[in-house]
Amino acid sequence: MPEVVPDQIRAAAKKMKTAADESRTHKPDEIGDVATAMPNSESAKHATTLSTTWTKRFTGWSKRVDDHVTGLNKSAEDWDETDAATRARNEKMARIGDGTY
Amino acid sequence: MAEITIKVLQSWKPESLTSISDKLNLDRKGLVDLQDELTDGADYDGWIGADHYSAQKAHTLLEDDLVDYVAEIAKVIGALDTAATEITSAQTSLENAISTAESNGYKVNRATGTVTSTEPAEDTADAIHQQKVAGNYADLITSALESAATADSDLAAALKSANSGDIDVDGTLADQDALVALRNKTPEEQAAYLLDHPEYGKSVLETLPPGVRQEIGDQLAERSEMITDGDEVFTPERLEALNEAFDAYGQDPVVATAFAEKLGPKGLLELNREVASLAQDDDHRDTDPDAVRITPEMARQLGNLQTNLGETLSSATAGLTGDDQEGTRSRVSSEWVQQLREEGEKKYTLDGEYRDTRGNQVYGYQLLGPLLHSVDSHYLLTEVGDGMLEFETTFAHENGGHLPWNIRMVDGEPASVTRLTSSFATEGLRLDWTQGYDDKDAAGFDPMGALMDGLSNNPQASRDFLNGELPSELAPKDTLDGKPYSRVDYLMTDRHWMTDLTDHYMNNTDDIADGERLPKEPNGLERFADALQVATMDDTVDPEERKQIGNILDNVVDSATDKPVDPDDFKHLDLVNPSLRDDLGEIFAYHSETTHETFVGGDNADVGPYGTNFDEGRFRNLLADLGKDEHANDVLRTAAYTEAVHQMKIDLEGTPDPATATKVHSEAMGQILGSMDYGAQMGEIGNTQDSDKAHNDDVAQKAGLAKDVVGLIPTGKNPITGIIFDKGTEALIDNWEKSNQVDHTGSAEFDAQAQYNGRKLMAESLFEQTLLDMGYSENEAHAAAADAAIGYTSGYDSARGPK
Repeated sequence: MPEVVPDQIRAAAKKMKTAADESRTHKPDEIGDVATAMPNSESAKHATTLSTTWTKRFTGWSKRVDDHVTGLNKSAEDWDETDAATRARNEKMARIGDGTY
Repeated sequence: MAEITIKVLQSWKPESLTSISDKLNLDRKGLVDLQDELTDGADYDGWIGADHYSAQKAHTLLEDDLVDYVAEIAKVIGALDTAATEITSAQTSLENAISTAESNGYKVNRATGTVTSTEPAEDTADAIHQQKVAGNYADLITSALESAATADSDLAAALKSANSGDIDVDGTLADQDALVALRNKTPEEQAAYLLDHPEYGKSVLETLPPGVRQEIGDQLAERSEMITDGDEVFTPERLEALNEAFDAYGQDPVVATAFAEKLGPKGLLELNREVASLAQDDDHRDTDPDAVRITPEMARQLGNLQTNLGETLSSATAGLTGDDQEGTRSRVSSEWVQQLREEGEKKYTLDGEYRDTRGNQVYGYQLLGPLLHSVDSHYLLTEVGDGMLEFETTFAHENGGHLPWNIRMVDGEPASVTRLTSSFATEGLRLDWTQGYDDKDAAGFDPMGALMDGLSNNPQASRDFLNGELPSELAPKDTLDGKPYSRVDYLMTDRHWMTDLTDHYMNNTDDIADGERLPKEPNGLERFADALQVATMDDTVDPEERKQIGNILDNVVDSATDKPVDPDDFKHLDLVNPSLRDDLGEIFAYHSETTHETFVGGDNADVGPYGTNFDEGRFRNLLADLGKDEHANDVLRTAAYTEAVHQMKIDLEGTPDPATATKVHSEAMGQILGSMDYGAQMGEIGNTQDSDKAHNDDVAQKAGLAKDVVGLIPTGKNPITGIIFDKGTEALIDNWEKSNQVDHTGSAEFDAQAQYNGRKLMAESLFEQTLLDMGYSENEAHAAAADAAIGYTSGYDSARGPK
């Protein structure tokens, strides 16, 4: 049986959730350690700044993916509700048609 | 740069940099491995509607951003690895210098870096010797510290760049995965892999450390040089692979510089000699069955390769701004370009299996030519341009006017026609494959056309070149004035633009009497026109650049009109080459303000936004000559109307008396249109295609059209440029003109009287509408119409016929 659209959307959302969670474990903030490896260097201060920047950037990315996942799940829900309303309408039409309503 | 002392360098831990780099690499790998999740995260085929579109867009943005972030990490990894290597090397050098000094009886001050002997000097000579030795050790220490400082600076630059987040790469996470696999390979191995996989170029090039890019440049040169190896067979497929590598990496300045340094100027020209002669053009008359014949695919790949060589050359020289500049990682030295210029004057021997064994020759500039189409580097274009021009004009001066490109060189000597008829040596040879290989596509024997094409890529280079000097001894003697001989004059009116065919026999036009065998095309004159347009039709606000433009415009007018004109022979006279008329028409239409103000300002006044100084009479002659060309006629007329209205609007702002302004500007317009109409008559231009259209007697409709025209033309003085009218205005003026045509029998001949009548009516309604548009009363507007007719007639009549 072909996969229905809301299920497809939810499956995609799940994959993106995995991507968001996984990305959180790979924040490259260790770049800040360059300051310890090269004290009194020009690189030291830029490395410290970059560590902060990257933390923010990658955390931000993960959060955006979370928001995207929320959006996808909401779209799947909306699709379900539309289907339910359409089913209810069709059933009512059928009952009208055969005189039971 | 931070100050690096011995103590500071000794405190650094490059092994920690490697460790940080390893961790970053793991992070990168972890992110790259999210490719499957991201792909599956967009797998919802059945979903349609606005929500789907939004979700898809959001997803693409997330994926693109992640690819950029991963690329950024890759760049930093490369920088860390490089820094670790260089700092380790610097520390080793430092320790070696210190331990050697100390083991030889010298003391090193760790704080200051100074080195002194621990033993007292025996005498003055010994003291001097000790000082020298101490100095050597100090130099070694300084060198190590400087290397470390450079490594620090380079790493800092990479970190700073990553901080800015401005990296933007193409491709997917999977492309970035390739770099993960390459991390522990040598630069040579990385370069070889990436050259074999050019599909990764756009994704990874920006992230590669300089050492790897230099290696790519070196290996690209080596792969290209295999073309010069007579035992190698270069099929179209092989050329395609080389071209793909160039497309992916060749325009990076570090890659390009390494490539250029590896080959050297002479090597580059030798390479193109081999590229150009890899196959013969298909119009070759020789019947050698073993000759490699051109196929469309082969021609395409040869052309692509020459284009790629040009683009690479451009990238390697883009960073140069003047003479005496040293080379860096991302540009060659100015000396490299000077050597290229010297090579341009040397003869390069062509030989191949399918050629006559005498081995004919071409000049280096002719081998450089095909590359110049794709160059936009200012320094290269102007240096090579100056050199090429000087070479050809000096050669011509010393060889009875013959250009070096027009002479077939056989065994180092110019060959006579008689000798040429028995020689097939360069027939079928096409030097330039970049523009195609039809009969109409220049074969590349005259490199000046390609230089012009290159100059068209850079307006400032074009201006600088055209404003350059030319030795006065080259000036023709029969000019009307004593002005310095300009390059514009030489190129536009005096240079023999040879027909540039593969059948080189046809190119020696001076020796062939039969005119039917002298096709005019293809030649480089149109390319010159393009360069002229690029130089002059530029909205620069810089005063010096505007002065240059004004100077070029002055040169054009002067050089076209510097000989006496016989009015009885004007019809048959070409003040400029007919093929240039449409382009020059566009230039003076663009500079409509200058054109108009020349006739307002009076003879030899400095007028217009570019400070030009045309002689009115001579300029009228030029306009009449340009008027012989239908396109030039059209654009100049449209510009004349537009400019007249624009000038009127400027003058009428705040002035109570429109009569003077009307007369002045209608007269100027009349002079321009009078010249155009005279030229049209001489050029026997047919009337417009709607010439049989019935004359429109509807005054209201005519007035309405004029009103629309006037409404489109801006009010107010634009101090920067003249008007740039758009196609909408142009179409409107065209319709308005047609609506004012006097009906006639439909003859295709130019009807001077009809045109004059029609245009006078148009002038009246145009100026009338302008005043109405500005809020003047109907009476004032009618009065203006009458003044316009008088002014127009006066100007028109004074412009008829050459001066």
